[in-house]
Amino acid sequence: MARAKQGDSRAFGELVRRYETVARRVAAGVAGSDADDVVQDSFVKAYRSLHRFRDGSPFRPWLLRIVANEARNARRASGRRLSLALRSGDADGRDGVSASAPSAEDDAAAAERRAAVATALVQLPDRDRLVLVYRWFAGLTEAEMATALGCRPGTVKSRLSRAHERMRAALAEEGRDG
Amino acid sequence: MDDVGRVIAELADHLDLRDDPTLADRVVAAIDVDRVDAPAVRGRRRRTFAAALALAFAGLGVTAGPAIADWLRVRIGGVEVERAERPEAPGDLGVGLDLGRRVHLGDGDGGFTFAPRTLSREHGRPTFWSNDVDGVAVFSSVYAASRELPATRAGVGALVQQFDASLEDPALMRKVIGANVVIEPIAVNGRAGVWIEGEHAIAMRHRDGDVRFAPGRLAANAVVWQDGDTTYRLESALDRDAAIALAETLRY
Repeated sequence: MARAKQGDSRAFGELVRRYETVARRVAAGVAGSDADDVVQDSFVKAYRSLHRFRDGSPFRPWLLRIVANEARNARRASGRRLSLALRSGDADGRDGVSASAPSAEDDAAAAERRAAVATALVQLPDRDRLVLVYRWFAGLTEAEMATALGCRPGTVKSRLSRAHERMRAALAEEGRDG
Repeated sequence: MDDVGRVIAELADHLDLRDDPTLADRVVAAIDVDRVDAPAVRGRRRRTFAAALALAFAGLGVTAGPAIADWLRVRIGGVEVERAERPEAPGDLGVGLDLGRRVHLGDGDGGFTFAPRTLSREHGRPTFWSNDVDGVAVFSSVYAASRELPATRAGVGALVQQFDASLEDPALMRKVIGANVVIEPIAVNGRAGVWIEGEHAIAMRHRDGDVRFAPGRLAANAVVWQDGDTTYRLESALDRDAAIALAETLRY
């Protein structure tokens, strides 16, 4: 980080490699799965803003806040409906099939369940979805979420609780519709 | 783990997302091409390239200009971003337009509360300027005239300005810019704005609540719009639709 702040772009490249996966998840959660440009632009913007990054503070929530803002702008600009693409053919993330592997029916049911979760998630208000994306897509702690959201830890708890309730309701709605 | 949390985390594991092994190189190349490095590093790299170029071309009797240095620089960065030579922005590009002091991105960005946006790299390298107009911070990018950006009366291809203030009601602007100036409501990426033909000032609402006016310019027609708390003005010799399309390509 120190080298990157000094202007060493190669050192910043290492940070890109380290945080790419989590950045992609947040970008997808805010702007949809097709967010490659958002991720690249976010890292470039983060580099340009490094002089504002306070030494000793956590980098991940600071970066993800930039990613989320960039993704939100990109989505507004495109005017497209948010959609989350799921991997096909690996309902449980495994390659190949073993004797103890779930049946094709199990796989189909799991895929269907995940599709329902994705549908419920994208229907949430942006504000609620961002909280859930930070927590469950990116795995941020509540303290990190406070940094990323720019609010107090106590506010994170209440926003997370409210987002969970709305997600439960959306899932129930999906279940009824399905 | 909460049930809701568990299903969302499981969903995340099954999103169709894959890391791109070229991403880091692309980011580094974009950073290098935009020359947003800290000045100390930029100077060191330039000296390194100058030495390398001197060695490479000494036997050929070729003078290594900055455009060639840039081309090599991108290649050495591991990713070929573009093959065309991109000359340095002329040092006097924007001089005389009363845009304040010349700045370089990465030098602290002039203390702005907003992130500078620029046109895509195909329009060449701009010069950057920082100014304070009646308490409103203004960041300006000046692009050289080209085939895509015909020269304005000021002799530049495009002038992009960002004002740290909100765009005032077009009705008020109408009052201050005169009856012989065309002003039409438009949208830039869904953001409300106006298209102005003719010399004009811009009325803006400063954070302190007062209305401020950006100085009039010998326009160049302009697209003016607001995004967030920032007002943008793009001056060019393009017609309305082309200018709006160009404005919509502004990026961080």
